[in-house]
Formats: sequence, structure tokens, C-alpha cells
Amino acid sequence: MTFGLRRQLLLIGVLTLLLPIASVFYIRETENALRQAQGQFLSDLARSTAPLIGLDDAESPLAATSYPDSVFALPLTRTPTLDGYREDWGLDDTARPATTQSPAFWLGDYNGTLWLHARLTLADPAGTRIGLACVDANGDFNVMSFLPNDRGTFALTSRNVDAPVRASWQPDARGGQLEIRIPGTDCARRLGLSVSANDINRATYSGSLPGPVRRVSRTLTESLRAHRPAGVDAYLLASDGWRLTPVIGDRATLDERTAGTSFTATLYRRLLGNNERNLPILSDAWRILPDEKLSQASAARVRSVANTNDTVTIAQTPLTGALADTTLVLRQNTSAILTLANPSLVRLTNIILIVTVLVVGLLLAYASWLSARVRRLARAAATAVSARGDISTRLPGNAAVDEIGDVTRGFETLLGRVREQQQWLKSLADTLSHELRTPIAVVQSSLDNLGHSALSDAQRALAERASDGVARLRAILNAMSTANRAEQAARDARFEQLDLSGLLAQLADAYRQTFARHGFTTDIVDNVSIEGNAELLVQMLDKLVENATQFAPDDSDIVLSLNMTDDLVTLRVSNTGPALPAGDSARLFDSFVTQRRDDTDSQHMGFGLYIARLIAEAHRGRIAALDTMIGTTSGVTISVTLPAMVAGTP
Amino acid sequence: MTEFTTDSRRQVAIVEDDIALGANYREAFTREGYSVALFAERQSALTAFEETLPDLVVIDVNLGTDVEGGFELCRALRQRSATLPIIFLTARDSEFDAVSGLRLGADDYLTKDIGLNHLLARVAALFRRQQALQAPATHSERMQRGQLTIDEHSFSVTWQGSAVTLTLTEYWLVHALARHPGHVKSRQQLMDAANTVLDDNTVTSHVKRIRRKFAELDDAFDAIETVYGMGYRWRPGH
Repeated sequence: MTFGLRRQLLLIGVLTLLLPIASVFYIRETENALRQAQGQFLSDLARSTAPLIGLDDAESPLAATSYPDSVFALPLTRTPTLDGYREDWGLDDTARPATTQSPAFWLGDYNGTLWLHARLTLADPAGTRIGLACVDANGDFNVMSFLPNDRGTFALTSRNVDAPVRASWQPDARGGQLEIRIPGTDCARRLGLSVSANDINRATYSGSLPGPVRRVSRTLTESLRAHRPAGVDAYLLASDGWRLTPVIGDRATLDERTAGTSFTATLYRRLLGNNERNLPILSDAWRILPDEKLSQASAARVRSVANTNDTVTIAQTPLTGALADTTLVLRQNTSAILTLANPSLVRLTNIILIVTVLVVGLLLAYASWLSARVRRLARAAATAVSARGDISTRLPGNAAVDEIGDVTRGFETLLGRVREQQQWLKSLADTLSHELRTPIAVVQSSLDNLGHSALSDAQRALAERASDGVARLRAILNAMSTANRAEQAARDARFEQLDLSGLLAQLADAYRQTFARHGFTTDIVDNVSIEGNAELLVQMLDKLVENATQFAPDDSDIVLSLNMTDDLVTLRVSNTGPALPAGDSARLFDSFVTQRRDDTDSQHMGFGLYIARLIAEAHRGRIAALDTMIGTTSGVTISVTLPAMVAGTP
Repeated sequence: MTEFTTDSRRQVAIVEDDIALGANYREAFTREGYSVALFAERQSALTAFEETLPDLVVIDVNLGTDVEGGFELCRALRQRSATLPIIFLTARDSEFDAVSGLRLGADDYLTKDIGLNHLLARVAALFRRQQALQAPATHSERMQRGQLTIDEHSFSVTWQGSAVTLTLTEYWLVHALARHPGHVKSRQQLMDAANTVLDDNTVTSHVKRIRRKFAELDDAFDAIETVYGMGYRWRPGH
């Protein structure tokens, strides 16, 4: 497989795809730099804001600090119905229980009234007592309990609790759901829920120590609202993971944005490796589990926000003093930064990509065109010199004005020179054969004179050997000039209408007499006329027959055949005998080429078939040799194909 | 330069620019009893011929840088004498050169392929012919074939009573063909008869020239028949 021009240019074209890729990389690097700057800015902002956040003296520090066993009341936005279910609290499904203790329960706070909900799994509802414990400001312990027998809403009473505490129980297959409304009284300082066996005093509470109830801090919220820097979202986070304030900001909840999710944007992210995917997730829940807790360090980090495709930069910094285990979290959307999520940027990148693909396509088409021209030139150059040695000096595309045109013209010049050289070589053979005659005559005449002087037998033998050598040399020269003259004769020959059938029949008779050691059979179609020169054609047939007799075994038949199709006359001379030597059989018809394997017949110079070819070509015909196999007998057929004479042409 | 002596030997002039070849010719001709003058170029030969003409001249066409010197020399000699036997002996074997040489009135046009013995035989034959022509038919040996008469003594041929001027080679070819009318003579046989080494094409062109010479006398001349693939024969009955 060659690495053609098209492939090369395609490769280069593909390299231009680096352009959009580079631009995407550039965007990403810019994005990173801007994010870092934004993070730094946010960190500084957090550090300068933190000292301003403070508690109102009137509020218990309990609200702002964390206790290991505290229960957290989520702020509700509406009054639930006491029906045993939590679905009407307006919380989302991910809201986490108010306590880390067991049994888990949820606590809601609407205008000071607490709502408690628990989903209880009871192994033996009949033998179970459920108890609610609350501790008031004096530290008095009030326990209210009930047996989870009946479905319905009922009051829970205790001697120290004035305000009515009402509960609703909805048993189900595994246990039941419990919803309790606790009016905002002192009692609700601490709350606890217990599930215990019903074999003790009904006032007994047998669970964890009731934890202190924490609510969203109103003063901290106000303080934060007052000091929040413009353009960022802020909230406070206790060290135990509870958020102490709602998210305060211009857009407290992040937009669900569709931009940046398009196919190409996703593709770019995939190609580049999605650095956002590796970002830690910033949870929006009211309570953050320990493994969701982000580094307390004030260094800014980029986080994804759960359930959105948005990214934000956050900065955390601890508060001081009484609020030492509370963290101020600032959060800013990164949409202000030019990122891959930006749709116009994605569009720009898309355009670059499309243009690149177009350019690559154009390059490919251009390369195909170039490569086609080069291949056409290569083909023409490969066939410029025919098997017969004829040189054509015209190549296609030589008028082109570019470098390929230059190459084509260069080739033409080269071929022209080669042709001149070839013609010079041809004339050289001619000249040489002339020039050699005189020295040969000198040698020959010297030997003739030597023959007349007194020589010993040995000397005479040597002289005769030398004479034989000269005779051979002369035979070579004669063969060469015969070929030259045949060439001339073929060029100058006068053509006339000729009865080839009759000529061939006549020749067959003559050959029978001349070559007594071979038989001649004919297969001649009558009345075949061609336009030709009889003398030349006879000379050609002489050569072909002579050639055949030299290879055909004695007493074998040589077949002369003549056929005619619509416009072609085919003349064949076939003989049995050795097959053609391997290789290009067309070369047999070149001068100085012989198919003889031994050189016993040194007079044979390989001009016979060359002359036959010259004559065939002078008649606008072609000559070819091919192996034949009749049964198990090998042989050779030389066929001459000539244009038949069309009736009416002179 | 060798001056012609007044000895009784026949005098042969050889104009040959190749010194070695000339020397060989001189040796052979001397051995045969001729008196030989050897010239290497045209001018010295012409100067010598001013004084006295030799009995026979052998000329090379190409005399060194004087590429057509032989032809010029032949033309000058023919102006001096219509009967002086002139033989071209040259390396130039093209038909064009042969025709040019013969047109200038040479008696034969030979290529240097010819061996010394053949050359000597021709020279002897030319002298015989000249002698016969100068001293007409005392003992002519005639061969009659229809309208053709061949005088084997004087190497002369007549057709319908008119003389056909043939070169020695042409004479021998006609002689070989006419001797056995109807018999095909191959080109090789004809070459042997003409005491020369020619290639097939040269035989063909010789026959062509012979036909033309006869046709000048007789438009209807067709006595020499081409037998394709074999050679030529003299049509019986002519």
C-alpha cells in the first residue's frame, strides 16, 4: 500500500483540526484561570465578610452552635395537616432526618409550632409503647406515650404540658407513620422519641436523651442578609453539617440551564476530558453528611451543584468567637466566565469545526486531482517507450502551467533526447557496419595474400581459421546491412492490390522444393486480397519459413494458414519444436535477438524475425509469436495480422 | 609514387586511401603478373593519369576526407577514355551509391567484402572482355536464347540484335539465368555465379537493374521471372 498524495494531504488536512481543538483548549485554560481568579476573589470576600456576622445577644447561642445530639427543625413554608403523613410538609424527598439518633424522625418548624414525623418499623405493635419526651426550660422532663393500636388522631397529655400536643397514627404493614404537632412552648427545648416494650409504666420514656432543638437562626439570617456581598450566595454551616441559615442571595436556587448540554459541547468535553465531572459535589441539603463535607480551608474550589449542570465557585471561611465552629460559605455561579458551557462560544467552535472540515474536504479533492494528474503522467511515462522501442514524445497534460506541467514537459524533453539518442544509435549501427568493412577487407586480403606464400601446414591451418573468422564477421555485417536495407525498402515500397491467397499457395510449392526435409501443409482461405508489396511479403514469409525450418524436427510439417475476418487478415506459420524461450516474446522481433540457446549457428544474427516485423509493420500489421500445444507436441506459431483491403480503396 | 613502366605487363592503377589494404591489393595484383600503381588520393592519381592511362583502374569511392573522390575520379577518367575498365571497390554498399557509380560509367561496383581471388577473377574477365571487344570475333562463343545472344568470349549481350550494356556482375547474372532457361536460380546461386558476396537485397536490385536495361530496348521484356520464395528464372521460349 503506497502512502499516496491523497493520504498525505488528508493527514495534513486532519492536522488542521488541531485549530478548533486548540481553541477549545484555550477556552478551557482561560476558564481555569478565570475560575482561579474568581476563587481568589471569593476567598477574600469570605474572609472580609466573616467578622461581620454576629449573633444577637437575645438569641441563645444554642441556635448557632452544634451539639452532638441536637435535633434540627427544618423551616416549613406552610402549615401541615395533622394526618400522619409528611408529604404535605413541602420538603423535597431528599430532606434528611432531624436527628442522627434512633428512631429517626423529621422535625419541622412553622411559626414556632414544631411538627414531628417518624416512619416506625414495629416488630410487635401490640406489645409496643411509643413515647415522646420533651424537656422544658426548667429542665423538667415530660413524657407522653401511647400504644400504637388505633389508627387516628388523638391528644397526648402530660401533667406539665399545658398546650395540647396532638398526634396522628397511621399503622401499616411494617409498623406505621406518626405525626405529632407540638405547640411552641418551653417544653420544646429538647425532644426525644422512643419505642419501647409495653410492660412498664405508661409514663416511661425509654430512649436516647432528648436532644436540644435547633432552628434556623433568625438573627444569623438577618446578619447574613445584611452583610452578604452583592452578587454572591451565602449561608452558614455548622460543624456538624447543619445549615444554620437558608441560602441567601440574588438567586438562592441555581438555574437549571440547558446551555452547554448540546451535542457538540458534550463532544468537546469528552474530547478534552471533563474536568467538571471530577469536581466534588456541593450538596444543597440542609444537613450535610460527613462525607459530603467540603474542606474547611478557605481556598476556593469549584464544585458542581447537585441536580444541576451548573458549576459554582465556593469559598469557605470559619467564623470566630462564639461562632467558632460555624463556617461562612460563599457561592458564586461561574456562568459569568467564558466557558464551554457558553452557547455562543460553542457556536463559534462549531463554525471553526465546520470550516475546518470543509477545508479538509477541499484539500482532499485537490489532492485527488493532483494525484490523478501525477498518476496519468506516470502511466504515460511508463508507456512512452513501447515494447518495440518506439518512443512517443507527447505526454498528456503538457500544457499545464504548474510544476506538474513542468515535469511533463521535462519528461517530453527527456523522451525527445532519448529518441534522438536512439536514432543516433541506429545510425551508429549503420555507420559501424560501413566503417568495419575496410579493416575487414584489410584482414581478408592479407589472409588471401598469405595463402599464396609458402606456409607450413600449421600456419596454413591458422590462416584458414582466421579466414573463417573474418567470414563470420562479414556475415554479421551483411545481416546488419540486410536489415538496414530491408528497413529502407519497407519505407520506400510501392503497394498494390495483391492476391495473398494465390501468392501463399505459390510460395508453399516453392518451399516444398526448397526445404526437402520438411513437409508443408496449407490452410488457405481463397480470394484474400490485401494492399501490399509482393516482394516484401515474400521476403517476410521467407524469413518466417526459414525460422520455422530451423526449429521444426526433420519430416515434421510446417503449416501455412491464411484467414480473414471482417477487416483483418491473419497469416500464420506454425511449426512443431521447442517452445519459445521464457520472457517477452515481443523481443524476438528485435534485432540481434535470437531464440537459439546454443551458438553453434554463429551465422545467425537474429535479424530474420526483425526483418519480418519491419515488413509486417510497413503493411500496418502486427506480428506476434506464441507457444502452441497440439496434443503433447509443443510448437510455435508466428502470426502476422494485416488490415484487409477494403473494397473501393486504391 | 609508382610510375608506370614501359614493361609489357598490364598496368593496373589502384586508388585506395587505406594504406594496408592498398598494399595487399598491390601484392596480389603483382603476384598475378600485373604492373601496379597505387595512389592514396585523387589528385596524385589524376596527375599520374595525365601522362599515361593505365589499362584498368580500381577506385575506392571514399578517399579519406574526399568522400566522393572516387566518383569524381571516375567521371574524369571516363571523359578521357570511354573504354578504360573502371571498377569501384568500396565499403559503401547502399544501392544509391552503386547506381551512382554505375551511372558514371564504371564497369563494376564491388563492395570490399569481395575476396582477393574474386577480385582478381573479375579483373581478368574485364581484360578478356576488353580484348575481345578490341579484336572482334575471331572465335566468338555465342549462346543464343530466343532474342537473347550472349557472347561468352567478349562478355557481351544483345537483345533483339541491340547491345545491352551490362556490368560484369550483371552479365554473369544474365548468363547464369539464360544458360538453363526454365530452371530457377536461387539468389545464392546467382551470387556464386557472379563471383561475389551480396545480400539478398542486392541481388534483387541487380535483377531490377538488368530488367530496366532490357526494358529500355524492349518495353515488353519479361524474360526474367521472379519465382517467389526461390529466386529467378529465365522464361523458356525467349
